[in-house]
Amino acid sequence: MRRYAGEKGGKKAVPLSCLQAGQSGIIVSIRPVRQADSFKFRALGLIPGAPFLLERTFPVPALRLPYSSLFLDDELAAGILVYLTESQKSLKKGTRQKEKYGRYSFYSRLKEFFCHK
Amino acid sequence: MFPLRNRSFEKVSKKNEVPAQKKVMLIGFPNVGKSLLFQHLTGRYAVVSNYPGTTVDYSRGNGRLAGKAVEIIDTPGIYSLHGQGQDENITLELLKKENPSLILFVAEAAVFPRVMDLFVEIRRLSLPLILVLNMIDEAEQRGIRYHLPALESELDVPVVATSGTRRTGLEELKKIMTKVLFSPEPSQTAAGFDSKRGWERPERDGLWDGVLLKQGRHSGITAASSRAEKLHLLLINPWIGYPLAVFLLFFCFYYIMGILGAGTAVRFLEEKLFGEILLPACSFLTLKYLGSAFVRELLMGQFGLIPMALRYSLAIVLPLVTMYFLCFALMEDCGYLPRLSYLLHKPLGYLGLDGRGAVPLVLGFGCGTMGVLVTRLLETRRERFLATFLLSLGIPCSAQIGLIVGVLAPYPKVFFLWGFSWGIIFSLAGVLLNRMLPGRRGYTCLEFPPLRLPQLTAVLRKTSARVYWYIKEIIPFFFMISLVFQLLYMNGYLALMENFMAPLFRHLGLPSEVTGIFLFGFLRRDYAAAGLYDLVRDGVLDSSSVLVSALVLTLFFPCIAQLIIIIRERGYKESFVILILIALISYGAGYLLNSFISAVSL
Repeated sequence: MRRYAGEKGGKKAVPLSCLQAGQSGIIVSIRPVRQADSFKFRALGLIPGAPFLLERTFPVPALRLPYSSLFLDDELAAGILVYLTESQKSLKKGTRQKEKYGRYSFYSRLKEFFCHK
Repeated sequence: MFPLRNRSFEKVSKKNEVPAQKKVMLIGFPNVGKSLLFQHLTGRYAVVSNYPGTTVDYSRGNGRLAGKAVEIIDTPGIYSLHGQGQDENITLELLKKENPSLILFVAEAAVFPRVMDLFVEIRRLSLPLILVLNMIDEAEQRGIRYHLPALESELDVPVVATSGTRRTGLEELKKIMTKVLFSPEPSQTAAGFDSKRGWERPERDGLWDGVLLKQGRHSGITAASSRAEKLHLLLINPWIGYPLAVFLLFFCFYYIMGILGAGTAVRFLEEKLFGEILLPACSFLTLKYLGSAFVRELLMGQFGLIPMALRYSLAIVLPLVTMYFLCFALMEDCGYLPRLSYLLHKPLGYLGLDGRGAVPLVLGFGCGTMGVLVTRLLETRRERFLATFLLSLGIPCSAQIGLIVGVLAPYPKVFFLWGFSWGIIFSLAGVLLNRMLPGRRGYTCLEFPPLRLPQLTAVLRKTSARVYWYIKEIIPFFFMISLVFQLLYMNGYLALMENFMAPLFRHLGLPSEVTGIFLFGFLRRDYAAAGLYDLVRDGVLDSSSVLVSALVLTLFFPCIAQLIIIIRERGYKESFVILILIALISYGAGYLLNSFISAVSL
């Protein structure tokens, strides 16, 4: 099984780019592509520990944070690791795959595979 | 966004009053209402919109505090003192050079904890500082209240709550500004700046993260509940957003500008007002009162100042530009543009741009000059070059597009072919250039501002300011072009030029009469479109000639004003490359379209 930074205990951190629309959680770590991005992320409230709601994934991920709504590139989203909240496990879809990151479809697995290739 | 520096104002202030000694600089995140405060403090209009990056250059104005003149500087929004955008660098350079006597740190009251990092960075500059919690009315509507004295003692700076739209708290702000500015303590220099190392980087301040997280966790993230949030979700939903964007653009360009603008308003002004009243009256007056035939010819000749320059600018271009700016102001103020940027992020990626590229391109439909200026909000030089190229090549200004749509509207097949060819050439040119240029686009992380109901007075004020700016810019050009062409016509040089260039246009299947309008096009494309409108009205062109001329004119050289701005923004080398590419593409496209029309016998 693929392991990510920030993985500890029973919780597994997953890249933001591999989530589906409607999922929410807490940001665990951010790996900005450039130093300047980290300042902007902080300014927009995109910081470790911040809760989020992924509003859309297409065309690109759109997030809602406590003090802002924003969208970002897939490349940037791939560098953001998140924990899904407990409530995600009770979602109807993908309950068979609950063991692996809550609800995950075949498409999401493919996406994850290519994201981290 | 525009107008840029208030040069006329500077001249006036130099002549009439003692130059302002104290400088007050407005600094803050993008889209927090700095320009609106600037407007209230100086009385000078600055464009205010509901999207980050409205202000891409600084503006100066004079305000009066306790009877003394104070210079107020409005700056583009920044997220930190280590920004990378061209507009952010302007603010940082200003902060370094101007050594302001006072900084007004403007923050959006509802999301105040977000700005703490920047606030700490600014406070470390050791400059006199006032924290302005703007949009306090919106915060109160969301149930957020501040205990200002407690906040003041916590942050150790004066805090004022204001609302730019409702004009509340402004008097108190002025009082505190007076107190801070004219207190006996001398202002300090920008202590945080080291010429070798740049701005001192603040250490991670756990306190502010703590505030943000604590409040975030307590507030939590819930599903969209308010009407604005639900509407936001609908607008960024591709199944609704894309058809809506197409519908809006089609409605704006075809119905409002093509049918209502070029069809009704232009026809009324041009045929009734100018054709039946003004031109006969001017003709009568010049015949009666002007003895010199030369002057009379300059005024009322074929390319004369009144029948050409005045009629084109006021009767043909003005109504179209006004309508576009009105539509654009509505889109700006309600916060639709960032949602459009989101939807266009992927498609624009093929052209080497990101979602932010949608703003200069959409604004370019209003006026290419403004569009080129707004490319500053793009992050990399590569993106700015690509956006400038696309604006110059394939984004016709509102007057031009309105006239072309007006001309083509009676022929739906021709209109469709024009739109299709334009779209294909625009996309192909963008994709190929993106492939050929080294490097890649910057990384995007953009904020959605809240959706707001546009205020009618603000929309009308902004539209009128833009129209005034546009008219001020084009009328001298139109008069200059008319004068030059009338003189060339009177001396017979125009016929020579037309004969010289006619073979070039014969390859495009165009009659020699079209040469004249393309000569106008070298100076202003909207003037040339007005010429095309005249030729079609007079029945000189058939449908295939209209199609080819409309396409070549759409892809034609940028006008003189736009070219000047392109050279200023991109330099001579890049501007030259853009012009060469445009010449090849526009002529090649016209040639191919003409060959296609001849082959299928349209």
